[in-house]
Amino acid sequence: MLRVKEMKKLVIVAPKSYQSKIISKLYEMQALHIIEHSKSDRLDIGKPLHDSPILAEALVKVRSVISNLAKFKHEKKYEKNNASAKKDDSKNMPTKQIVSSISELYDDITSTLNLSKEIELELRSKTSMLAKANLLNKMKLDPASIKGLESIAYFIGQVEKPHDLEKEIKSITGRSYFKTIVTEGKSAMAIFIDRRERQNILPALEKHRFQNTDFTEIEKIGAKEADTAYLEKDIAKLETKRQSLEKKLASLSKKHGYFLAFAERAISDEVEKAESPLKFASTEETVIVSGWVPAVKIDSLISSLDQVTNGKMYIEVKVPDHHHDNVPIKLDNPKPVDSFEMLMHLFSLPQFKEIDPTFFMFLTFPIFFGFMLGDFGYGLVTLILFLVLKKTMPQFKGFFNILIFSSIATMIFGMVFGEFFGFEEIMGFQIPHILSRSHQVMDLLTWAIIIGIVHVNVGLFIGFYNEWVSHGLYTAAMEKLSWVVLEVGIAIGYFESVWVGAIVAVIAVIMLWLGEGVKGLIEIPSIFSNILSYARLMAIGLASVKLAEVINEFATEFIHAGGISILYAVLLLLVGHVINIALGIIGPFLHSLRLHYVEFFTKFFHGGGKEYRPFGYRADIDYE
Amino acid sequence: MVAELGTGLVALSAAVAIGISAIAAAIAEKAIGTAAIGAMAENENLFGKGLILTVIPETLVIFGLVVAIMIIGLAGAA
Repeated sequence: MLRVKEMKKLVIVAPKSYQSKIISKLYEMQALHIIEHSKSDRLDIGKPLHDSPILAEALVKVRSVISNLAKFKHEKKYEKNNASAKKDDSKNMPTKQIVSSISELYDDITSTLNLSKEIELELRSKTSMLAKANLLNKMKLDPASIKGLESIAYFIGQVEKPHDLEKEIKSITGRSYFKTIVTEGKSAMAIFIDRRERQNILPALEKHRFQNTDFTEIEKIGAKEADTAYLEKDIAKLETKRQSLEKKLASLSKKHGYFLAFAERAISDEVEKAESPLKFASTEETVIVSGWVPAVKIDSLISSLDQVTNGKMYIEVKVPDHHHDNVPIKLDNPKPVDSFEMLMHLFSLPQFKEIDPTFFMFLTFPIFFGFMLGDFGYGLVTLILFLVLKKTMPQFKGFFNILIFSSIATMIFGMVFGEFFGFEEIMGFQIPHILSRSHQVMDLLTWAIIIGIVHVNVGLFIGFYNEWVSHGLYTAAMEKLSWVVLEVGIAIGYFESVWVGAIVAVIAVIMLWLGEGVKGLIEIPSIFSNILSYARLMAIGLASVKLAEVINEFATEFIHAGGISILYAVLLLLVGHVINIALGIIGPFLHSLRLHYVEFFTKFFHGGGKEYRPFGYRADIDYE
Repeated sequence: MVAELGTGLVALSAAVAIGISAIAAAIAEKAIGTAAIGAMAENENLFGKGLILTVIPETLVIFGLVVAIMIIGLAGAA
């Protein structure tokens, strides 16, 4: 519980012919945290398995299919679809078959998609042609009339002030013909001029912002094809074709959605296996895999590897060398405590020899939270809220467990402080209390500081133990015990005799100087600020109580006013307490966490451990 | 209601103690908050760490509050 999982270093040497079998077994067992071999003169890294390129290609294909079909929203997440997983027999499909059916599916879907894209393009060009043909129609111009013009140039398009443009062009060239219509509130204009004058009128067109429409497509096709009715029929035909393709894709997506999600996972597993030799050391005939295994799993791992290789391998088990090996860390806590491991992952994992502080957080985190929120009513509300949230969002189970423990602590402290939604008495009945937060502020402060002193000293003793284990008793005493001696000296100086206290304090300072050098001396004031920092236990609680009291006082006045004001009172109570509870979750949570991270952990915790991630383990799957 | 000048000064000094320390905390949190948001833009997993770092300077206000309470308490005792 206070220790991280014990790890052993494992070196497996086996003939290359067994490589893929060993990989499969290791992947299945999810026990070995592989140490990546880096290429050296004597030992090269391994090569990916021979089917790796095929698998990689299949993975690209399946991902492309999934993203192309994503808009139909039929593919489900593999792990969430347990009901169909039982029905579906693809679960036991060999990889080769998965790859080949993915390949087929990919070809089918890609060709359909390509066809659909072509149709889309044609549809677009036909639609734009139809718009142009419509424009000609409205101008009462025959498509044939703009075809094969040799001595005449024409411009057809939109312009804001057709009359001004007409005037200007007429001033440039006499030989011109104009036709202007108004369609959809905009003026469209056709200009026919002598081809030789074409260059001369371009500046005028630009000046009046004439938007020319390109009719070359219409010129190219025959008059029959340029007919609007003909075009409309064409478009309708293309549209039905497009819809049928869309339907086909949707049905493919529905049919294969589950299989695709499954195949993506299965193939990416296979790719990871196939590429794993890149992490191994290898010679021509042998493969060398080294990694970390939890001590409890070592026997089963070795025996199943033995089975796979028929005993034709060599295994060496090494005890970790704490000074040189970077042992991966797996926290090891029993059931209710393990929820708090999340808070360690958020900060940093302990190193292999260190004490895992998760259990201490389990003990004190809810207490601090409860001390700050400390209201029976609020605790009840948050308890119900987090129980419901835990049901609805099982993926954040650990987080809500922490908050549930904290809510229970809040209710207990609510009874200690005798508070119920900020009220200390209800209907004239005085709620019994041990300590009233709103009236005994100084006592509350004293208690907060006492908690601080205890907590910081627990931290110092854990630090003493950690140092003792890794650097010996002398260093531990000088570095950690010196702080305790300093505190004792100050206490003696304050309560008994200044002189005796001063002598003890000087001894402590010398110890500190021997232990940590100048750095320790500079740090001396930090012990006071750290302990004083626990005053937040009082301060945040006080802010919460006072806010609740203000809400209640206002509401009481409204109730006394009677009539419609009672409605206001209810509204005020509701909104006010909801806001106060929201603040009361965020504030105490963060500050309780901070007291652990900053004040508590700095006394003993080094951290920086790297997480244990066994080969074959995937973070996106809930193995429970 | 006529309060003595001394009482007013006690209240004022308590207010100054908490007010200025709150401003100091706010300035510190501003810098940390900006940096934390910047880090989160790079890596969203840093949200937790950013949140924790942002509340660290709140100690300043708490010291301010402790001093304010002590001022009122000592003045009351005197």
